[in-house]
Amino acid sequence: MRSVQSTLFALLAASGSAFADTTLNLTPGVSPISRDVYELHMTIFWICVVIGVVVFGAMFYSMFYHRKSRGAKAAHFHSHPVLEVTWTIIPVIILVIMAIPATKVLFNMNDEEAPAMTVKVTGYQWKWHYEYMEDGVKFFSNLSTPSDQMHNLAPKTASYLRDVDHPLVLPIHKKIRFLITSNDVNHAWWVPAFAVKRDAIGGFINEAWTKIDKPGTYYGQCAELCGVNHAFMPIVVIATTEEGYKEWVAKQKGEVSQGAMESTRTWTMQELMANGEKVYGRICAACHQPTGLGSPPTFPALKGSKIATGPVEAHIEQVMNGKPGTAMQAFKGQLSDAEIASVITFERNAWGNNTGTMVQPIQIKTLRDGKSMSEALAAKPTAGSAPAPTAGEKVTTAPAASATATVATATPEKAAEALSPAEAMKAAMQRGEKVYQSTCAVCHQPSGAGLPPTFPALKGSKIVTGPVDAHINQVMNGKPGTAMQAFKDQLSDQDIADVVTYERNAWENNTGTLVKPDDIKAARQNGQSKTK
Amino acid sequence: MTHEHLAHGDSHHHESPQHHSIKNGFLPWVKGWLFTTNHKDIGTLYLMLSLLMLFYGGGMALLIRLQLFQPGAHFFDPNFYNVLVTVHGLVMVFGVIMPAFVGLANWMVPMMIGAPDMALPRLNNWSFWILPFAFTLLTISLFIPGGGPNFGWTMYAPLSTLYGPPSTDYLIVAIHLMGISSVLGAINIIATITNLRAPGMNWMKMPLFVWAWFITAFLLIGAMPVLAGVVTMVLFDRHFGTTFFNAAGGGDPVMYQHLFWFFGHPEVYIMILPAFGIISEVIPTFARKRLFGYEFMVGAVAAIAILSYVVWGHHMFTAGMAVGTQLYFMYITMLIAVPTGIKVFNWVGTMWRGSMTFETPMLFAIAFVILFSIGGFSGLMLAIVPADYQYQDTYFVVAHFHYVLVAGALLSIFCAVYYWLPKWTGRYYNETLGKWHFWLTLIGINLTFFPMHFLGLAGMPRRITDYALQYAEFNAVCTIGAFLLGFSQLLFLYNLMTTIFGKGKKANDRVWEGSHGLEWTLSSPPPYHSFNTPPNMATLEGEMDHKFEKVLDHH
Repeated sequence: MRSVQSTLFALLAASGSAFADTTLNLTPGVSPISRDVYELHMTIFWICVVIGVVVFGAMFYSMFYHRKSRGAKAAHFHSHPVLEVTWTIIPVIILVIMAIPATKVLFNMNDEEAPAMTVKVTGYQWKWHYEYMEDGVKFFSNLSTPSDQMHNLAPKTASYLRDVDHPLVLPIHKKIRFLITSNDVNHAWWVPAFAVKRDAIGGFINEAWTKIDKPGTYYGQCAELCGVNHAFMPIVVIATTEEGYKEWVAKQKGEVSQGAMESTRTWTMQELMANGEKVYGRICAACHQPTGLGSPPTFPALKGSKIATGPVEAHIEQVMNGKPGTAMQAFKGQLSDAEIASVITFERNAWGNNTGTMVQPIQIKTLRDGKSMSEALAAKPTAGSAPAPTAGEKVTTAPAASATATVATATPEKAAEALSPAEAMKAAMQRGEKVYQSTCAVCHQPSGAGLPPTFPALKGSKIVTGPVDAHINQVMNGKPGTAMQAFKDQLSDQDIADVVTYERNAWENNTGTLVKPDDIKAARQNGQSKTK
Repeated sequence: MTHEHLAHGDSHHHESPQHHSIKNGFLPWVKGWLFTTNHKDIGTLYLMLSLLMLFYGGGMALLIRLQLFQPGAHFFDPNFYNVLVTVHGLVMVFGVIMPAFVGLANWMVPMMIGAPDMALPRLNNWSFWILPFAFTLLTISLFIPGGGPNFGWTMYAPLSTLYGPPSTDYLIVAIHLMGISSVLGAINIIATITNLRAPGMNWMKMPLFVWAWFITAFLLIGAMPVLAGVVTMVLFDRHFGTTFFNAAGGGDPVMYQHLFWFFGHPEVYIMILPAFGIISEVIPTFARKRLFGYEFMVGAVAAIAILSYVVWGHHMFTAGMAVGTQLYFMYITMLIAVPTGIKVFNWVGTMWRGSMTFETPMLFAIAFVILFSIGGFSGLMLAIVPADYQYQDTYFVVAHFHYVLVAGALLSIFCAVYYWLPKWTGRYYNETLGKWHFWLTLIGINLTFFPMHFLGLAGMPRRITDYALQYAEFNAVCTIGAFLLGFSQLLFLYNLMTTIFGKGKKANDRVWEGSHGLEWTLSSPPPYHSFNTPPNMATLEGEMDHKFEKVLDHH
């Protein structure tokens, strides 16, 4: 007996940690709700087991005793209304008994009153974004499993596909309310230990709450098919004591201000490459592969690609704004200036691309602040000697160091001496074309020909070639009663100015008008009193 | 016995039309099958299509299981994996289960009610021939640049509307074609059963298979147009500037789910009610005892069908519906367990104190009752909303619907084919091979799908292409089970083909000792045109009312 026991124990121990993790049943979890859910689950389970044993027992009995080979003769009965009614009513009673506690738990699960704190959870393809509404901390949370492990090039650790780079940290013993939504397709935020699962639907907010009983690390996953990497957006919640949570919040806030400094200083090539490689591995390699070879045609190769080895403007543009109609997302909202600058630098120099280009975080920051590409590339970091700008761009001596504060009133033509009216127009047209393609072309067509009468042509149209005020008004306020929406809240001043400029000069409209963001700003201010 | 043959007034017992033999020329053979309006031919066509689709969809299932055999496996890139999952579901639902049941209806319903054919024979032909085009279109969509549809058979917006590849539009057209086929078929069934019953074949004398299909036809007519509507809305959102399912334009992705599942729930009952009908025919035959509780069985099918229209929300408990709405759907979903339970009890009541033998059809029928009930139990668990928050979109759901659809519907189709094959072909299938097929399939099904309950409870979501290490053991078991299940079907294929084209043991009219119903008064195989004149009343009443009392006691 003892030797059997010890052999079994040895076998169990030898079979590795994965086996020890294999479970048969639902977790009771760490919140009062999860325990209630577990109880409901076990209750209905046992009810089913009992019914199954009775019914299948009768069947097996019958199969043995009522078989022809045993000499059984068939009886003639074929109805029994009293029996039928009985075995109708009894199940109904069992169901009612089951439904009462289930109703209570459901009401409790959906009672988000009086929370101690709120976390907004946004599903993205393919990561989660968390925003602590009271403390103002926000960050993205990405899968952190190295892609080597995912491609069977390295042994898998116990945290395979479970860990993230930036977990959600929550205090125990506090009622935490979750507001769950999506940036794109439907996702679902699910942590089994809390019995919280809610779909993340774009444009809508679902609520949930939990109260965590004890500290620990709790894992979850996205639970709604959301595209190729649905399997790769896990959830990690670290539940800490109240003090631990406060410390963590303070640290997060510190990192934000630290991050601001990172954006303005000079980075060396080494720093950019090292940081870029990390960012690449975490964010880009899932599609473009660690080797940079991608999976064409869906995920193009970056090694030797025209964009990664060609003009840096196109590369920055692609990473910041994505490529509509493809899986390439806009990363400007998801990565910091330093992350974008370093990953672009990495892509331009890794795998033998060797362009020698360095992109500084300040350049990305300048671009983010609404400056043109040429201005952004001309931006210099505050500390240290700035390296020479990339080849092919005009070198300027404009000191655009603290680009943020001074540009409120400056227009593109005034800030950087290098921009002539022709260049300003060219830049505006380039930007405007992008806005047009991503926002207007779906109705008005890339060719400007529209689909009359529902979507009028812009090429040669009266509004686009006529007085600019009417054109600006139409774009900003839309045309009620038609499909033409009001874009004043959807596009920035710069975007509206650029797209109007583009429309007025493309397709041989050639009005020569160049609209400036200030014009749009003025139009906004006059908007209340402006008539159509 | 001969007296009964002459009584139904057919002079050509074994006449086969010329087109049945390719010896009469290839082109006549093709034209024959292309233009046939005979319910037996069309039944055969549906069943053959379904068999082909079984291997097509089953092959995809094996590829899916291959990918999931171990963590990190990368046989397919994640996008193609999602395509496999999507098309596997579509093929199995629309290409295997539904056409097989329609094929069985075509073959059996006219004979069972003493009718010469379906009410609308030309419509019947067209209903079938739409399908090969529909599935060709679906297959073509896999090769369209951008890849095949990759958003699951449920096609949720906005994944399908804003992010779906170009092939989505092909899928939408294919679905329209399938829907038209189903609706026309359903109209035909209702018209046939309502109008062509032989004199004496009253509503409450009809075989339960006929009742089950009559009621299923109403579900089809109510549900399929809603699917057509919702996929058209998807098409419009994709190409014509509408925003039905896009919040930015005032629409709502959850509305997609409501509309889809308003179709989707009746759809799953469409896929199980005919199965209930089959089992209700087979168990009495092999228990040599009349079906227990006929009136309650009819009432239960009707109750299930009516309830199936109002429970759709249970597919969407985590989507964000109001609490009161969730509660309503919970109560009404739990209620469906009641009529379903009645049916299970009545099948057991039929077996009880019968005189059972366990030929292959009976083995499949009994396995159906047990395994479908297991699927029903996990369904009841899923109905409990707070618990469902832990089960939704996990492998627990995958286990549930594979038990009711594979261990349920598919097993009932095998049951029906073994049961009626000797009638259709005039020859018995190989019983030993049939039993091997049964036992290997039974083991395969349970090995493949039972561990999925545990995977779901442990936290494994569905539709994922890779998974964390704690799910590895059970996934490996599921994959092994799947390959066993898949390859065992080759036994069925072999048995089927050798029976149809071989020279096996001839079957007489009755085929099974306990057989009951008008179809068993015809020869095996039946005449190409049967019941050109209706069966006589004595025969009819003998089959429907007195069968088990009189005939068996006297042999």
